[in-house]
Formats: sequence, structure tokens, C-alpha cells
Amino acid sequence: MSRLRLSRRTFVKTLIATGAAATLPSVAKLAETWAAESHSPHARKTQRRWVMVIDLAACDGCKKCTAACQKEHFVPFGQEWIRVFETGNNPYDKQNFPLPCQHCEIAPCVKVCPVAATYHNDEGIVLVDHNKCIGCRFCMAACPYGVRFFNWTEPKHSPQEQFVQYSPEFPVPHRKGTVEKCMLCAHRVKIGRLPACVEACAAAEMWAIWFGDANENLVTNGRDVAKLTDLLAEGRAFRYKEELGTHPRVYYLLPDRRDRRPADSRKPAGKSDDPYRP
Amino acid sequence: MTPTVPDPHPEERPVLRPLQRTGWGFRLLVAALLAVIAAGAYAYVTQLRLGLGVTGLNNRVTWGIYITNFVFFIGVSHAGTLISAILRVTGAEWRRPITRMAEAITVFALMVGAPMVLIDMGRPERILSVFRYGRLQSPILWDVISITTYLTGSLLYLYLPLIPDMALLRDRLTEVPRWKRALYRALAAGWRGTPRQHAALERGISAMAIVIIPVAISVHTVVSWIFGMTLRAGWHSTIFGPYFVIGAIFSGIAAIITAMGAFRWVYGLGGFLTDRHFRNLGYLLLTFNLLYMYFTISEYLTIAYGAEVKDTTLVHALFYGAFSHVFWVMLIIGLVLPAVLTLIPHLAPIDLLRRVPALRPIPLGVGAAILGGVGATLHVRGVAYVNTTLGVHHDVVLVAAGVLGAAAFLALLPVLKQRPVASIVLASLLVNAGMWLKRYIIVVPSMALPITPTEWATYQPTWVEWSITAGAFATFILLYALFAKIFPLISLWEVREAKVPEPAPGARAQEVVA
Amino acid sequence: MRRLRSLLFCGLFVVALAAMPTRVEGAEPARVVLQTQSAPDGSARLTATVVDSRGAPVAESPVTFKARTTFGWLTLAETTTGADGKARTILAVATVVEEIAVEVGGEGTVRAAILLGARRTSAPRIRPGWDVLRGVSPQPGFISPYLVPLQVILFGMILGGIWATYGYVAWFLLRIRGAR
Repeated sequence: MSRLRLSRRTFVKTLIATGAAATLPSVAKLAETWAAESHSPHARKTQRRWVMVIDLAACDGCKKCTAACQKEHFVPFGQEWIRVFETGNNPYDKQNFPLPCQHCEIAPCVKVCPVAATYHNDEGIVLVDHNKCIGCRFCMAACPYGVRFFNWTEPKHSPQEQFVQYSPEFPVPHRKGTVEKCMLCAHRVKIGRLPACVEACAAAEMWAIWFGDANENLVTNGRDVAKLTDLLAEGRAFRYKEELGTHPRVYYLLPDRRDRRPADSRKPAGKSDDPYRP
Repeated sequence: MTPTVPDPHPEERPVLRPLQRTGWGFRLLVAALLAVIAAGAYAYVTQLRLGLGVTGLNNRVTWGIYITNFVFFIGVSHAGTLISAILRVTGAEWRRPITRMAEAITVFALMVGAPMVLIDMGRPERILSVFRYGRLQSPILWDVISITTYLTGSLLYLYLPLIPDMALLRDRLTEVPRWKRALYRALAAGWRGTPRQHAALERGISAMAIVIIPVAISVHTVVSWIFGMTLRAGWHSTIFGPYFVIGAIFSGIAAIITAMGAFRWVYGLGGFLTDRHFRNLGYLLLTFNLLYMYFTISEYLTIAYGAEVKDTTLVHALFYGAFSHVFWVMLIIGLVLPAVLTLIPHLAPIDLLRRVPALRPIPLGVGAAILGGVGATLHVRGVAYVNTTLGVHHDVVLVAAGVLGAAAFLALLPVLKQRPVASIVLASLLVNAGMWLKRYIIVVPSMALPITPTEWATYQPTWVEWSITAGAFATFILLYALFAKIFPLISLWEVREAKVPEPAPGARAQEVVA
Repeated sequence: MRRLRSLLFCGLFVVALAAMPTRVEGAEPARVVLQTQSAPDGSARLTATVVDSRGAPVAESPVTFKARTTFGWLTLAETTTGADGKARTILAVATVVEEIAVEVGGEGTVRAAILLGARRTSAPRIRPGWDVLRGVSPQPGFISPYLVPLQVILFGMILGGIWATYGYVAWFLLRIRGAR
């Protein structure tokens, strides 16, 4: 029988020492993170705020955006990263409604991720790091737009896929047991190309999807360049489920833009220079 | 097995007997449980090999019965806290014989419930990332932290009152296998019952009893926040924390009553687990039943009255639509019937039911036969299973089945009034089933709800999910059965030092009258 | 952004005077001067002054303001000069362009341009912690990928209290074992 005599003082001392020993490394790591973050190369880079504007009046529901996206990203079977819904309150009010990831500024999925596997990159795009994702699917439960998908089984891999170097910006090859979503073609926009869906929409001569930088206040649909604020004001823009406070970066232009306000309250066309900040 | 020295506590023999002898019944039970666990393990290996695609889960309903099981077991784990800690802190003397069983339920429910999340993960091998990259902002991290804390605390809280009993077994059970003796000696921690040791033990137990209460409340609050922190209809509710905590204590009481009933019957522990314990726990069960009804009404009335589109969609599906079967069954067997069953001794008119001729076995049997025939015919003709749009035939059969079930229940009531313990155990069994369904009703419909311009999603659990669920329940029972073979189920030293002497087994009849 | 704004705030400054006289006639535009001036609210006023070869302001001359962007040239405004030969427009607050140009009388006639290579917002340097809590977005504490001090302190206090109690109880265990 070992005799261990412990006074209360010794006990408290030991407890404090143990606590300090356990906490110190994490504090050091915290400080390290702060230091690294404030001197990171990203902090000096130009900040982009990519936005997408979808013109519901122009969309004819051909789903070429979906097809182009699936081809571009080798999207696994059963997933549609940009999905075209047909909506409307009655048969005479059918409306095509393309729904990509909304890339919310206050993204519910980013909030709940336990391992920071889903995150905003410097340009405001919500990405998933498939090397970190633990497959808990909390982000899918949290997403109010239902635009996240899960690789329930090992996805089929095409031969081309095998040559791709994985990065969260271009998450190929896809991995079993992780969450997938629209990446806003982060790998393309960083070299100045338009996302696959925008290009496909332009190639189909519909020009319904606009893409651009909100900091620059400019968007293009592959044919025209427009000032974002003007486009939003004239297109009577809204954001899907705006009331949830997720601040999506995807805007929709109303299908029916007849201005029903009294004539004298309208602004003269082309002069909307009010400093609007999306 | 007769002790050489006169036994000063002959009434404790039923408690010690299972530790000394192992019968065929136990071996059969363990074999059966192991078979179920093996099936579950095979299902899990299949799932690991092929991915979560072997479950009924899909991109819309991403959480299913694994998460239901998780919430259920974490809820059951509240048994120990309530019985041991709250009753200890409030000085309820009658708690003494049941504390050990309750604390064991806590530990084993946590041990089975927590891994359910691991089973649900797409990448279980990355579980350690939760510690490496963990974000404190995520409710999952809160869960991991609070469940770890709760499991540690409840292990400590189970072990502390075990020390004097371990010493007692060390000194008294000399014929058991060597490993058991070594175990008792190690766990007894040099207990000799000196006043200093008693003082230290008492202070340790009181400290644990107080600290474990907020920990337990936080655990189930945090579990509710996994749902409450999202923006989904049916989940995004401010009362979810207390709603879950009340539900957890409710199912915890049901679990402890079930365990008490089983062990009283199997081991003949009627001398310790008297009618009085069942009656008191029955009142507690009723109290939490009413509280849970109150929360349920509060929750659904609020969202139904406000009538946001997403909320009315959900409420409609629960009340009349695709989930109405589960919902109403849950309400009836989880809340209404247990309330009646726990109130039985106070319902005088029940005896009048004996005089109703329609409630005799023969008319009931005839009714059941007719209904079974009609139902089978409709089933063969494919009418019985219509999803949301119920056919007329289906309605009639359902109503008839409901009426028949109600009649059978009424016929059973006078019988149960003679057996208050049986009726309370039956109530607790119903509550267990009802609370599992309730967790299903919380998890699945909110996920199947259309959040984009689409239809309702469907979810049908597969054999993999059912096997793993069965395996989880079997593991829980197995752990508990093994515990009962190694440790005394009754905290003997606490019963001995009780200030109020427990009524002897002979006083059972008087108890019923009182 | 701040550096740029202060640069603009120094007052009026003329960056480029590009005159390409194509026709030497009386009231024909010969030169155009583009000026930018930052307004207190952060937007920029663009003023184009059109003069003829003798230096007199040209009225009623069509003027086009353009901006070069990632996706090509964007027409900011199409106006005409007033009696003083000046045309004005406003570059909205958030607009970030690389180059601004003004054209008089159609494509390639008379043109002036200002290179605004510096006019770019740089990423805000976020120190996780209080900075995150304060500004960047309305809910920074919950969305941050980093530890937030307030949350760490709260968690530490609660968990520390509980685990310290566990330690206290474990200490009683040691006392039981060591007691005579």
C-alpha cells in the first residue's frame, strides 16, 4: 500500500502547474497563428470579391451550365453543382431558376464546420479542403440552399482526372466520404477566365450569367461588360433567401422587370451613380 | 456457498449471488447479444468498405437513424445524473438502492451513444482532426468537449461510491476467480472504512454530485444546439435546449425503471427495489411526461400559429402527411399511454371497465381477426401503403385499428391496476420506444423538408443501418449485463447506512395499500 | 485604399494631358484634359475639359468616359460639355478600375487617359481576435477559422472549473488510498 501524503497546498500547486503546462503550447500556437496571419502573403494580395449575377429573364432552362460544370469538374454522378430548378406558383408562371452555391459572406456552412475544412478563400469563394473534411455533413444540414453534396461511395474516376493535382480550388480527383460543392471555378477565375457555367451560357448565346468583381464594381456575361451596381438596380436584383442574413454573393435579376412605380419617382436611366455597396 | 461465519446481512445475498454464480440463462443472453453485435459489426465493415452509400441517406436527408440513436443514447445517459445527483443533493433517502444502476446506465449509454457519431462520419479515420484543427465555434466541438467531460465525470461518479462495496466484496467473496479478487482488491483502493476515509469519500461524492448536474445539462443542451444552430424549419428553435434536456431526463427515468424492473425480475432484488421505488420513480416519470407534453405543445403550436411557409410545410407533414404515422404513434405511446399507466392507481373508474362486455377477450379477439383479414386483403391488393394521399380503405382500416387498440388497452387497464409495478415498467418501456421515435421525428423530417423549389425527399433506412442500430442496443445491454456480473447492482454500503430503514420485503402488500 | 485616398485628397491633380489634334479648325476639339478629384465620401469626380486648338473651351461636344477593367473597357458615362467646355461624371465609391479614359467625338479622335494602377483595395490585414470580432463582417466571431480570445476565455473558464473539480475529487481518491 503506497502512502501518498498530499497537502491541499501541494495539490493546488500541482493543479496550477499542470494546467499551465497543458495550456502553454496552445497559447503559443495561438500567438503563432496570429503572427503568421498578419504577415501572410495573402494579406498583401489584391482583394477580389467575386460575385455572380443570374438574369432570370434571360435563362431559358437549357441546363448547359450544369453540363459544362459537370464536364469541367468531373462532377461525380448524382450531383449538380449548379442546378436549374423549374419553379413558379402556377402552370402559367413557370420560371427557370439556376442555383449554384451562393458563396454567402456569412456562410452557415463555414460557421458550423468542426475542422475548418470549409472556408472562405481570399477572394470570398467558399471552398472545401477535402484533405481535412471528416464527412460529418453538418455543413449540409446547415446550408439553407441545399447546394452541398456528399460522395456517398467512391466516385468513378475518368482517366483525365488522374493527371490533376488536387487543390481545394480544383477538387479533383474526388474523394469518398467528403462534401462537394460549387467552387465558383476558383481555379479559372484566378487566371482571368470566366467560370465554366458563364462561358457555357455565353456559348449558348443566352448570356444569362454575369460574373465579376464587386470591388471593381464590374461584371461580364462573356459579351458585355456592365457596372454591377447599375445592373443590379436596373435588373431589380434580389438575393435568394435574403432574409436569412447569409449575405449571398449570387444575385438574381427579376424575370419581369416592368417598373410599376409612378413615373416621377423613377430615376433617369443611366444615371444611377449612387454609391451602392453590395 | 454457505458462509462459514454467520452472515450479518442475509438480505444482501440476492445482490451477491450473480457475482458468484453464472447460469445458463446468462450465457445464452451473452451469446445472443454477441451474435447481434457481430451482425452490426459486419454491417459496419460493409459500410466502411463501400461508403455511406449503403445506407438510406442521400444528399437531402444526410442524417438518419445513426444520429437518432446518438440523441437517444445521450438522452438515456441522463438517468444517472437525475437519480444519483439530483436526488442526492436534495437528500431523497429512498434513492440509495437505485443510484448504482442509474450511474451505470449513464456510463454505458455514453459509451454506446458517442460512437454513433463516429459511425455516421464519412471519414472516421480523420476523427483526430477534430482535436488538431478543431474550431471552437462549431457545435460539434462543443459536443465532443462536453461529452468527454461528462463521460469522465460519470466514470468518476460511478467509481467513488463503488469503493466501499469493492472492499466489502474483497473481504467477503473469497471463492470467486482470481482475476475477480484482484480486480476487487485494486478497485477497493485500500478502503478500510476509517473515519478519515469516510469523510474523504463523502466530500468527493458531494462535490461530484454538484458538478455533474450542470455538466449533464450542458451535454444535452449542446446536442440540441447541433440542430438549433442551423436555419432549418423544426430545428431553429430557442426552446430546443430545455426541450432536449427535459426529454433526456424523461427517457433517462424510463431507462432506469426498465433496468430496475428487469433486474428485480431476473435477480429477485425485490427486497431492495421495492414498490415504493417504482411508485416514486413513476411520479417522476409522470412529472417529466407532463413537462415534455408542455414543451411539445409549446413548440408545435408556436410554429403552426405563426405559419411561416416552411413551418407549415413541416407541421402538415407531421400531423397529416408522410410522417404522421410516426408522429401520432410517438405521441400516443410516448406520452399519452405512459401518463395513463403511471396514474392507474389513482383512477378509480377503471374497475368499471371490467363490466363492459365488449372489452372481454372473445369480442376483442373476433374484432382483431376481422380487422387482420381486411387489412391483409387490402395489403395484397396494394391499397394499404399509400404515402401521403391516403385512400379511403386505408383510413377505415387505420381508424378501426386505432379503436381496437384503444379497446385492448382499456381491457388491460383493470388488470394492470392490480400490478402497479408492472404498469410503471410497461409505461417506461413505451416511453423508451416513444422517445426514440421522437428523436427520429426531430432529425429526419426537417432534413427531408424541401428547402429549394423541389419535392419532399425520401429516406428509408437500410439493413446496414438497422443492423448497426440493433448492434448498438445489444452492446448497451451486454455492457450492462457484464457490469451486473462483476459489480453489485445495489450500493450496499449506502443502503446499510440509510437513516430511514427500508421496508422489508414482507411489507409489500401494505405498500400497495398505502 | 487609404494611401490612394490621401493621394487624391492632396487636391486636384492632373495626370495626363494627351492631345492629338486631328483637325485644325475653329471650334473643333483639339485637346482634352482629364482631372480626378476625390470626394469626402470616397467617390471620385471625373472632369474632362475640352478645348480647341486655340485653347478656348468647346461647348456641346460629345464626351465619353471609359474605364479599363478586368473584363475590358466599360463605358462609364456619355455626356456633352457645357458652356465652359467641361463634362463631369462620378466614379462610385466601390468602383476600382485600372485606367480611366475620356474620348471626345467618337472613337480615337481626341483622348486622354489616367492610369490608376495603384487604385486597388488591398486586403484588410486581419488579426484574428479582436479585429475579427470588430469589423470584417457582422458575425466574425462565429465564422472565423481561428480561435477567438473571448470564446477561448469563456470555454477555458467553464471547462477549467469543471475539470478542476474533477481534479479535486481525484485528490480525495488519493487521500482514501493513502489514509490510515
